[in-house]
Amino acid sequence: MHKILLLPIFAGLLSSCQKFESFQENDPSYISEGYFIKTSLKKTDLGLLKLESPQILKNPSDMFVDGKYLYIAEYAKGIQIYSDPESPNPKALYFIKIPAIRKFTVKDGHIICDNGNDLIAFRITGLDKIALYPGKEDSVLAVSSNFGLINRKADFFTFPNYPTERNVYFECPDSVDFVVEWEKKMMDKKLNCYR
Amino acid sequence: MRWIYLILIFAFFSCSKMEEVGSLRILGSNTEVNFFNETTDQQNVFLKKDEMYILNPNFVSNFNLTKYSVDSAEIESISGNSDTLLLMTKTGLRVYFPKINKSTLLKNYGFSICDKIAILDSFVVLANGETPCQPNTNAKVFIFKINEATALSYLNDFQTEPIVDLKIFKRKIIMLTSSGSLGIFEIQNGEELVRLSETKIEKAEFFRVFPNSNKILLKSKSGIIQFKVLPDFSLKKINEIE
Repeated sequence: MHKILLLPIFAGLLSSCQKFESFQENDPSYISEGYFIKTSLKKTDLGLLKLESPQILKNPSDMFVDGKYLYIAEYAKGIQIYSDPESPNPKALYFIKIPAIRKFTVKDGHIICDNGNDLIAFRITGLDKIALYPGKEDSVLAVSSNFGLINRKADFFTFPNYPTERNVYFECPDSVDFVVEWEKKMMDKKLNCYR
Repeated sequence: MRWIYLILIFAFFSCSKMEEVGSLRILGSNTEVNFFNETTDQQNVFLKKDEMYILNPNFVSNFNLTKYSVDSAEIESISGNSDTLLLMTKTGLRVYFPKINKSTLLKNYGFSICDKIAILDSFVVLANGETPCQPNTNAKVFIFKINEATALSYLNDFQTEPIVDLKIFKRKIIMLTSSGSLGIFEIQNGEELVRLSETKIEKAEFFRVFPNSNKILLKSKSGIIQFKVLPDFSLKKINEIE
């Protein structure tokens, strides 16, 4: 009697495994290339907010302009601030390092942006009073001369730990906090996450 | 008894195998990508799955946020102003009135979550086709009208190159195509989309509008281009940051 009952269970298990196994191979979008984690950040990295000398921007992700400054954000890097936004050649003044920034806005003398899962606010009304020597950097965690981090709402957003492309397989981001850069390459192992 | 041992051994190996090959997980929502929004009246709206947060424009650094919930909507993108918002959701297109917290699901004309949307008065401008959601559908721009705040009626559609960005600027519609044509349009005669100006920018990706200062910032392959919008809605390049 036991044997008769166990046989269908055994067969069921076997067939269900085969079904799982064939899922990705039968998917036409499961091609030989996938997205792998290239650069990631830990939660503790989010606190590394600094004022630095201007940098060369490679891939801007957001921008803003007001009467005084032009602001350009680079994904997961920070915001570069330029003076003379109306001139043919605005001058790069400073780079505010924000490790996991994606988007921002400027309102009433504040930069409002994300940093990983957090929403943060910088006061920048004292930007023209700052003296940063070339090649030096300064923490902006404390407000001085009306410039610096003024508010932080923790875990307000959900950082997208997946590529922005759709219909792609990618490495599951289980062991990292924030994936800030993906690399598309030939798959040398099965990728179990899909978007 | 032998059968039980056999099943246990099999279950051990098969389960480990299932974990390896059968744990496919579907991740990712557009809400988490399109999380940071600005309405046409310059309010900041932050998106979460079924929730929207409008940042109080007074004392922004206090993070005084007003929360609005749209039950089971799974918002993907939004457009509009703080009185009337158009929501692209997994269940379709919704019009939402934050002040009375009421939303209506509009008639679905084959929309997808990749569509670009804008609302201007009661007109809805929607661009779709040749997107990751609808790769085999011809790119088109549709004009609809929302009647009595609840019903969506079709007015017109136009063939176009794929639209990569779409925004409202001073009651005009600005569209960027995949080939880098930045066009400013207005709705005339209640259903026609008339182009007021066109500027070509190689490998343009997206743009942001600043109605108060009559400016547009555009991301291109080489950097950020700043334009002044002239009274006739033609664009004058101010500078380019490379």
